[in-house]
Amino acid sequence: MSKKLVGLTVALTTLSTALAGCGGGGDSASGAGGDEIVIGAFSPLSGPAVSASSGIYATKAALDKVNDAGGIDGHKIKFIIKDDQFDPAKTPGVTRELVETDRVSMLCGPQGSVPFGAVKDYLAARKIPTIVNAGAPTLAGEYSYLVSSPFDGVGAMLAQFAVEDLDIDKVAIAYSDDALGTSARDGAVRILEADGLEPLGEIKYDITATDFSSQAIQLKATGADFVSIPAAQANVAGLVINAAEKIGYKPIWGLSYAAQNKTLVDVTKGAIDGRAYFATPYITEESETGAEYAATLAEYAPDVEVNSGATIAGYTIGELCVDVLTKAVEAADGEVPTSAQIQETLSSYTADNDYIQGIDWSDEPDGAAAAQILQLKDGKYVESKPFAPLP
Amino acid sequence: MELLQTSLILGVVVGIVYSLSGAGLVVIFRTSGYISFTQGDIAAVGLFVGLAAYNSGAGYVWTALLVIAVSTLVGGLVGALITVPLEKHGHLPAALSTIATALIISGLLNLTVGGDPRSFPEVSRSEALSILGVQMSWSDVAGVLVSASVFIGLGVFFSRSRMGVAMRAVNDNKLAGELLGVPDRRLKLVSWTVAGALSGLLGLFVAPILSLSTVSVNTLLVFGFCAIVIGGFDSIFGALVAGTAIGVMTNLTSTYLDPNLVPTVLWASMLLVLLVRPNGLFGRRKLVRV
Amino acid sequence: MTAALEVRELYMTFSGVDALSSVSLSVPQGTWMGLIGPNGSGKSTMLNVLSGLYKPRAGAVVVSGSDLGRVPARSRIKHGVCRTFQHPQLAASLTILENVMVGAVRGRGASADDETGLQWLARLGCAEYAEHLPAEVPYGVQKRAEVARALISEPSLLLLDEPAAGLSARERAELVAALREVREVLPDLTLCLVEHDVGLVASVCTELAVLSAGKLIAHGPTDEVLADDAVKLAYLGSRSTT
Ligand SMILES: Nc1ncnc2c1ncn2[C@@H]1O[C@H](COP(=O)(O)OP(=O)(O)O)[C@@H](O)[C@H]1O
Ligand SMILES: [Mg+2]
Repeated sequence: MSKKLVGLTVALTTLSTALAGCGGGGDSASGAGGDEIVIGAFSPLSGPAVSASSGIYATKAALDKVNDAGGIDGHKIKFIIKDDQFDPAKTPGVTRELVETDRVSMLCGPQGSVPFGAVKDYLAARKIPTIVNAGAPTLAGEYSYLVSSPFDGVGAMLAQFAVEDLDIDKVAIAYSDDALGTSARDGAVRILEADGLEPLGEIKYDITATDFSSQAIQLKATGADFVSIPAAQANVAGLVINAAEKIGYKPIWGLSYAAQNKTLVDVTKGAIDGRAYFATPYITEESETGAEYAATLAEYAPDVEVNSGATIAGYTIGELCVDVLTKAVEAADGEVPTSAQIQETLSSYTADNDYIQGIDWSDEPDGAAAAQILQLKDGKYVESKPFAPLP
Repeated sequence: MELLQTSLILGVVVGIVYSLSGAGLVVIFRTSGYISFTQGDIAAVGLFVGLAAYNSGAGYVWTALLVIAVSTLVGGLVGALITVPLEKHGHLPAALSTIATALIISGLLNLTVGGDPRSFPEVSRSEALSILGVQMSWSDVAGVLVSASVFIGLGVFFSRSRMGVAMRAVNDNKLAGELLGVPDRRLKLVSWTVAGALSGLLGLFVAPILSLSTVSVNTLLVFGFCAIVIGGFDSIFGALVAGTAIGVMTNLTSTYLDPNLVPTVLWASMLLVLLVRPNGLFGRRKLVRV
Repeated sequence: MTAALEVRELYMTFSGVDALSSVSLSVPQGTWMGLIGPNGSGKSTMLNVLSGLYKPRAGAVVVSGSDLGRVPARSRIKHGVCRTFQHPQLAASLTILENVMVGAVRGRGASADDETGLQWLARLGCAEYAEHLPAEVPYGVQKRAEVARALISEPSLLLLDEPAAGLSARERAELVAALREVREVLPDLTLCLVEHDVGLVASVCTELAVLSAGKLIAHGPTDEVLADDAVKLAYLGSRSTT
């Protein structure tokens, strides 16, 4: 409520003028005129949500790497990033610029469920396809393709992991009363019921609240050994966890890539090291492919946080865009593909590669149907359960 | 039963912090007659400076002192250079300037330190005591004790000290204040400075719980605002009682009704109090002359 | 010996109309002077000029030898000038005693404590209201509280603007008694009392100054002035028409 209000107002009033210049930035250091493939994205680059920008810089790193290697069949990719400050009131304006002025042929990795929700219909009407960097299942559509796993599956996977792998049957769920939170909760309940169990508590929280002691008390009262809070972002997850641990309740925490970053570790002061598990469709730095990812990032975006779920998601989306564009260029006989040709490619695209598994957009435009479970251990995210299909 | 006990006790603990945030607002309101919307951002400046010092090796005590010192300074400067001078154009421009200043500070912070929440050191997480089975850390105990002393101190200051009484008079009757030579400008600056110090102090208790971001103290001031409306704009004691009541009430609402109802219950009770007792529960009621 | 108050050739004009015109007078220390005159004759204007709220168009105000021409209202209390208002100006959220103590913030009685405040309230006959808010006490108490607040600042020149206006007969009697008490305690105090009630003024003041349409038409010992024909005509005559 107020937090958002203050934050957004700040972004609106103080920074818009000062930072107008930064927003229009983007990458224009590409090859000559008609040979370029022009794509774009919006993302917060300034303002209170600027920390969510790591994803777009990672997407850009994946594209820059390809450009430096000569581009796609000789075509450089021109990637234009516009700053919407994570403000859905600004997103339509910058998106129109991308489509109508910059004439992008697709959007690659625009950030955020709420901002994308504000332009989904517009993009569909203009027939501009998008690979979205956001989790809400409602964002999937004829022209919008999701990569992140649906939260229903994430919640289900965490519950399954608790019961089957950790051998815990006392599971509680904390959730926010929105599409992401309730679908994650429903997924968890579905799995528990299939195992003849039921959650010891389904505790609701308000993501704009300042005081989570009520949730902490209720969670503690359930006596659960595993608390699943899959859809929470790092800051909210951190507040819930801190409130609980403060009153001496220290369960195992089930989280997702949405909370996987150093903010969570920082805010909880490392207290949950060894007791926090993250379901994610994305790789880690620790894996073989991850090493290559980390190296690319070190070269093209040295300032962004390598181990954050959002960064890895952004990078993965960059790799997907390259793959999709490569296929689209082939389909266009080596020419720069049109939006229609890219859409054609996307609508039959499947991926099961080193970066992501279980993408089948020929069936539905929704996210990865496979995920792994990571454990936070000594400040690192290590594989606890390998990639498997979401239950 | 345990659920209720814990809800009540933790409600009181958080409520006292709400009260503290209300106290800073009362101090400015008393001399100037409007609410400052800058206090959260003043605290944020102090907290970020303090955090930088902490990260480069300063101990907790020095960090805390630095936070309060910087907030005091920033509070005093905002009052001296921006808001109090604007009062000559009326309360509205002055009150609006507190919003503008808040947005400017917040914008600059977003630019320099960014929006990432960070952890902020606290007194100590180790358990100090246990009330009815609810463990309290030293941070909780310190929060309650410091807030209590601040309230007693402010209460005594405003009711007993010559300056405190004069500060209340300044805004109440300008004409009399002027002819009696009450140094209103200086007293207003004192109130801004004191309020700055209180914001920094508040920040020391808020930041470890909410984690430090440019908006963390601001988020809490909403509750402080409600506390002083409910408690009475001119009553430090009212802020204490109302803040604590809000802490308990929101906690019970969240536990037994619905967490999303918390803002509704909060604002509805504020409106109710305004309708029934416009001067707040503990504001001195102006009797009709007999 | 310098006069406690000396006014020279004072002019005050409101949109072309002279509210005070060529007013000069000198009041020795310790004198209680009543300032009377019909409604609109300039009495309040005179007090406002003396207390610094109005800046005169011309003329000088000298208090105990210092010219206050450049001294703003808020600093005049340090020169020993303090006043009350026709309509009491008390801080609504302060108790009567707290209001009284505000007079000690900058006044010359800066060392006064609550005891002194209570003592003044007692002399003025309203100690029992010390802990009440202004809105809770009778009008007459509010007016006397203002007097107490002025007195605690230890003024050398006290300006009272219609202290009896709006008071009941009993309250008037109490006020007169209170003022006599003040006179006992502070023989050196110079008083300028603006008042409609000539009887009341005559009972406490040794000197009278009479304003009529902004002009000083008489100034001297009370009985002489009251016997003056011009005063009778201007003042009593016009009084009967209002
Ligand atoms: N602030 C003012 N603005 C305009 N005219 C004023 C003002 N104050 C007083 N006057 C005028 O000056 C004259 C004297 O007023 P005042 O001093 O209030 O009279 P008194 O107190 O003797 O009744 C009146 O004609 C009044 O209308
Ligand atoms: Mg008058």
